[in-house]
Amino acid sequence: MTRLLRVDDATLAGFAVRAGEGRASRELLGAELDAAADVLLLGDLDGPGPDRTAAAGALLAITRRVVVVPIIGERQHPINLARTLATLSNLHARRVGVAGSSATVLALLSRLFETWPLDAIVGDTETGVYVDDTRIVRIADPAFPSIGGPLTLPVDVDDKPVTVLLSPSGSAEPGVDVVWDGAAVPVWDTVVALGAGTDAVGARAAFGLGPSAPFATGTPAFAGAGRLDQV
Amino acid sequence: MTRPLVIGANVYDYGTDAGAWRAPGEDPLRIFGADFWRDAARTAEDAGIHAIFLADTPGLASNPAIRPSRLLEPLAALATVAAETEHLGIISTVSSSTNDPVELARRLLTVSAFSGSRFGWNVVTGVTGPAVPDFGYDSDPGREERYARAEEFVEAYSGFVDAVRDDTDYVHEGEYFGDSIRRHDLGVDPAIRALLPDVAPLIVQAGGSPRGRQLAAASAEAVFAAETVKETAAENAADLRQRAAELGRPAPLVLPGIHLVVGSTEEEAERRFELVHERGPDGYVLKRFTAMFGIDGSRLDLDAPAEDEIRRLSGDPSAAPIGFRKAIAAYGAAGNLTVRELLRYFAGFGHQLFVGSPERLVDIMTDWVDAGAADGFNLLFDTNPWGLREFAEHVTPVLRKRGLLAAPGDQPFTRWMREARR
Repeated sequence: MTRLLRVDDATLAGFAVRAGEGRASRELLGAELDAAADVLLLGDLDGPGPDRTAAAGALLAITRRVVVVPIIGERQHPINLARTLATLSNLHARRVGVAGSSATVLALLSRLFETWPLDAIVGDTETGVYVDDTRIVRIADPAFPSIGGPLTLPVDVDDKPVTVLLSPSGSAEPGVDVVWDGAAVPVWDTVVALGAGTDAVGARAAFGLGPSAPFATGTPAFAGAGRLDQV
Repeated sequence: MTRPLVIGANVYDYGTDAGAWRAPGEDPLRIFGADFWRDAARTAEDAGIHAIFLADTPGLASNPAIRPSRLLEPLAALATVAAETEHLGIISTVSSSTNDPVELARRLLTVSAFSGSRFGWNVVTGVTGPAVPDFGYDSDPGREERYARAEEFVEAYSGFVDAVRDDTDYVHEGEYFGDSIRRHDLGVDPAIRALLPDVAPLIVQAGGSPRGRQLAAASAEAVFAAETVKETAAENAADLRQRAAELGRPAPLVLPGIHLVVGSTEEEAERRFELVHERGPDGYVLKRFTAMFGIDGSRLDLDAPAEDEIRRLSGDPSAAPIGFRKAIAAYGAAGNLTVRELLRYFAGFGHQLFVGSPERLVDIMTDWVDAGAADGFNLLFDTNPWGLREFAEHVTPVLRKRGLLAAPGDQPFTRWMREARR
């Protein structure tokens, strides 16, 4: 049974103050978060709020097992958002998802995660080939025709950040992994007792999801010129 | 007595050299693990470095097939650096052409709060490559428009931070941005507001164009300068200080970049430079050089004086930073170098290249500071984490022995930097 908790913006601000007090304070906070839940949903359900991807990055850096799911803030550009989530997914063992109230935005993010598959990286230091660039694509999104990437870094396409639609009703669909009624998620309101958590797992495993199913279509981003002409 | 230095380290992924990702003994996937950033953070802090800085472009600026660069989102990577350290500053490039000032202000205040007021924002204007349409542009908006937007962006951003500080409504009406937000909807928690003024990100600027320099004088608290000739650097620093004084502001700290290859001896450093540099793609340095100057490479005479060739063939590519172009051209002219000789110095980048021993490096640093050309330096290692470790092992002891490493104590990085200004 996955233990979910939502951390509202005021509590997140309190976490920021604690994190800013020094390493010992951060270690204690991280231990509390790891013990409190399997998945933390970050942010208020409405209102502008601070950016929660920044909080997600800070909390992932001080925890070892809990999965962190920031609610999309107001105005953040999908490319910047997707790039941040892709970075956090790589750095922190896939322990990140993203939640929002727009299925079309979540689908765009999910498509952007497919612009550069992690297994396209060759990393051959002898031949000097870092990545198979034929697999880096600009995706096509029906709702956002001008946005296509590619992102600046790869994503494990079998284990993409989980996309969570915050809605009282609805069902999973391509680009939306999970539907939650945000109001039904318990809210973090007290300091919890420390206890032994389970081992770290990625977001998809924490949600009981299987491998991601790629669904984006795209065209090669670097076709038509020699590699040296594209440096 | 030379005043103590402010030292920043640019640890943007593999390093400044195009061969960095292929450096012997390094894992080509190393930058994707949090341990890479934790290790860099600890190494830098233990070495007495004051900040880690990540340069960035908002999209893939080039094909990573043969030279990966600036892949990770810097704020996300720096969160790990901050978590691992107590005093080390974290500075990130974020472009004004690909963000919203209110959204960014909220985001950066959050980053800064979690770090303990150790965050700096390097304001750049770039948007290149495939990212251009992603951010709503039909084509590269061009330098003038990018700077016009940046100037208003910084004004709007600062207005928002002021509104948070004063707990007032935020109103901005301009050519690029317009907003009216009631104070209850600012979206910054009172607990964060209470951390002002320290939690307000340090403003850093790096533009070398006249408009960029004016923006720096008007808004920056530190400047990452591209300089290769001490006398020119001193003139530019004096100009910046004068511009700031005319605006009634303390002068930004001037931190020229040094593309650094250091070893315990001159010979060791030279071997190291060759070892990494020869792993770069064939023709890469020349390609970067011609792109930066807007030169048709087929017309370039490699054995002619660089100054003449640059004057004869150079264009003004909008996306290429003026500061780097001026700095490299100045070095070629000052040394009367051929194009071929200048290419080695350029090495694919644009900052001052130093290959040598720690003692000679520290002599140069001291000389520049004494001449008024610098308040410190922004170091760019040829490869990471190797170059960073070499600095810690060889250069830090020399700096400490000479009393040149400033110690910020327990005050937050932002406050320490602000108080270090002239």
